[in-house]
Amino acid sequence: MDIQLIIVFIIGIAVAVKLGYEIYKFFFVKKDSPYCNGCTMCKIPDTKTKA
Amino acid sequence: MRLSELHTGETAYILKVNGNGAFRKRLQEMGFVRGQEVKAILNAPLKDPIKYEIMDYEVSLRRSEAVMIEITMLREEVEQKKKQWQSDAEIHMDESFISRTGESSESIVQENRQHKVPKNIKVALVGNPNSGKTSIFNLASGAHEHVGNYSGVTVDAKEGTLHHQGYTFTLVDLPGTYSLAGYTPEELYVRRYIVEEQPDIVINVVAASAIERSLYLTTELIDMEVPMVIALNMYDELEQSGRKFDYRSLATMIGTPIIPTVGKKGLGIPQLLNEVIRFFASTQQQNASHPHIPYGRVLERAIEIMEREFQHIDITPFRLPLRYICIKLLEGDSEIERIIRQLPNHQNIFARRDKERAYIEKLLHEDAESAFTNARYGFIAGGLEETLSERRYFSETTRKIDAIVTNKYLGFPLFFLFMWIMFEATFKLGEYPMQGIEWLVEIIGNFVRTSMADGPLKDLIVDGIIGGVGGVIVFLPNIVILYLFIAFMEDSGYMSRASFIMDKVMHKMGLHGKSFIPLIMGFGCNVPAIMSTRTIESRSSRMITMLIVPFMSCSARLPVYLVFVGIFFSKYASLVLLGLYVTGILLAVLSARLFRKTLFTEEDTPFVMELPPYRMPTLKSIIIHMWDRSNQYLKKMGGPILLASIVIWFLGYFPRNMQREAAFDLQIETVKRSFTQNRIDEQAKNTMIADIEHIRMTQHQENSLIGQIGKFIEPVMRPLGFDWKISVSLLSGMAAKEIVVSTLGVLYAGNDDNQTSLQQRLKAETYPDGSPVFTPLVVIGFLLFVLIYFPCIATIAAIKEESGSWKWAAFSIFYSTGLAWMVALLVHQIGLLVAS
Repeated sequence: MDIQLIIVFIIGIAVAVKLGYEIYKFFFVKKDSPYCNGCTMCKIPDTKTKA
Repeated sequence: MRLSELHTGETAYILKVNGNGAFRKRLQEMGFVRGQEVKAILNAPLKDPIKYEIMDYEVSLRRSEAVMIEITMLREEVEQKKKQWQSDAEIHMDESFISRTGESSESIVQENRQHKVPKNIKVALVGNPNSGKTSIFNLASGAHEHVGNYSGVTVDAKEGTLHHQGYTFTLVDLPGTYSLAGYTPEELYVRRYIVEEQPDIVINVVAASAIERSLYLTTELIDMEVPMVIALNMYDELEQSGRKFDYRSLATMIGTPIIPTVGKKGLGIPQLLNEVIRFFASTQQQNASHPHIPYGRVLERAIEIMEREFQHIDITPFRLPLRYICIKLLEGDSEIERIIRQLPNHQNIFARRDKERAYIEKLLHEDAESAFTNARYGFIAGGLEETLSERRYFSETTRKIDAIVTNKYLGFPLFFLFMWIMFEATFKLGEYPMQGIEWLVEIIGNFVRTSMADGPLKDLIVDGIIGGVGGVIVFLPNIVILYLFIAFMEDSGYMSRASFIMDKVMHKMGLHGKSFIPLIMGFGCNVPAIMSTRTIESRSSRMITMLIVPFMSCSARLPVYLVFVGIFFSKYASLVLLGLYVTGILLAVLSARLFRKTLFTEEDTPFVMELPPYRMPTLKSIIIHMWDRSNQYLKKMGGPILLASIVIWFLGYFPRNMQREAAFDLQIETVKRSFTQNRIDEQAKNTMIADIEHIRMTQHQENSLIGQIGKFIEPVMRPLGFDWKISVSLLSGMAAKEIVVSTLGVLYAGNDDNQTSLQQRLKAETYPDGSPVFTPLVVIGFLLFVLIYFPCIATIAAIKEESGSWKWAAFSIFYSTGLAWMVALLVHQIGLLVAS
């Protein structure tokens, strides 16, 4: 099998896992930092938020 | 005489605040209490609201609200009444004050090292909006929390840690609040936080420039018996006004340490932290005694009687001092009433409370809530009379600037001029670094094209990653410039003025000026804008604002605009950009009116808004602002946008039809053979191969997974002039708006062997009949669709959190997408009719 195709498949699997995890997290995981509901546009380094 | 009748420049004294409930309470806690001097400063351009000066700060009130305040212009009349009020309430400083100050902070820090005192201190920052809590929080914790020169920058608790003198501080920055009355969400939030989280120490940040009003919250914290240290922030402004303040004497009077600070420059912060350690250690080593605010004979008697009602009741689960519960019950605080209703004998308590309230009203000629507010302000006035000298220097800078930017004729033109300059700079100045990044993306793309062997990995890197992420990253400079302007607006104090001049317009929409701040913030990011609607008291106004914020063009939509505006409307780019933003605002206005008439018919709350003095934003704060924004944008590139680009590429690349590919390969071979046999010339050969490649790619994309999805939704989007690729980009843009661009970058990969910019590829895209996919009419419809349909999943989640239900989040999705479809349809169909 073409080496490029194998690498592409591995990337595809990794992306699918990451995407699945993000979707799972969005719907089922209670966030530690519910501030802004996970939007990171204003996320502050070295601080965490408290509800 | 009513306050609304006071002419500009005139001074009067408040006799009575009419109205009831939240309205009157809000006015009173902002300093509109009897006997207080008030001056009319100016009218907004549309004659409403009016700016007043009270307690050394400036506040705006609508004419319809000012009419509720009774005033007199005669000083003698108010002096006479003051004597009467004082004899009624008998408010005086008495020996119940307990001093905790006097020892040197340094010596006690040394001493504490010998004792076993916990080394972790949880500190909550509590203070009025715009008192500088976040500046202190940032300086102390080293965080880069957003600060601004307007009320309500912080809408949630934020935590940071720092180490000082061997202690670990957990600092919590709480939303700004004028009181803990429980009428507004932030008041309730702060009070609940103090009660439930029980911080070891509360740092009460008091704005020295508006000390009298700021100390009102302090009196409530004293009532709550929280261990407290006062940070007298912006102390430099107090000194600049020529005042002398004997804060040590005041600290002794109220039994609470006071440390002067200048949060912006970091002055006094180490001393403040030393004092927190000293105070914390003292609360650990001995049973803390608490100072009480003396409310005068009548109120004290009522409190005492109420306390007796609780004699045999265990109130420890409430985590509130008995005296505080009694005061709040007498004031009619609904949150405390709800707690008391849980007690078995609550009927007796409420019966006694009602009796006492009637007794207070009879003796003091005012209701209990006003009596307590007046007593608190009376106490503050008494304390400051002995410690604070008169202001000697009056800064006219704010007045002079306001005379121009809120001028009847200049106010609105200046506002729109500022907005135009913002978009012009975003587009024009951003163009140069943008070209540089574009060039870099092309270099990288071409390098990969030439150095890698043909295959799926090369396609993924070139078309998926570089095509997708590269298409979005070029707009980084534009985003940074846009935020530079927004930061300037926020930090200088102009944001509040924009609300001030827009209030009448907002009022016509059924909202008030305060709603304008979330709307402007929405230009940056809709999510914090929706969070900031918490500062709006009325639920109906809050809900309407929340639902119209998504019509404000956030910075994530800017890359989509720039891609198309740059190629199709390059001559009028700034005007088109401004037009899109204005269209968003107009749709927000129309939607707000519709919602007010149909879904939220309830009356709105008073427009009482503090107008802070203008302050020159520091270079550091602007740079931090821009750096944070760039950082977040780049992180977004490496996260969701990269992920989405790869997903879209996969969906577009698979499934591969080997038979079809072989057939196209055969056609290309035939063309090449014809060339070698001299049947066609080189130019014809290249054209024929390019045509075959184009058909190959089109057929492949149409049969790919993304093509099938696109074809499925195409019938709905076709009347708007959108092909299936545009439809797919809009679908993927639901995750985040920048993904619209990265998807276009992946789908319109082009046939050229050289890496070309996305803009060039879009312009070159044609249908099989040779007609362009993107005409100015299609582009306008597309940009309007992007503007109107909901911005991203994070915004929808924010609406759900803030409204407390998925119902409103779902409503926002369907309403905005439905409206986007309708508007794009109308634009396209009318455009076609006009063109034909």
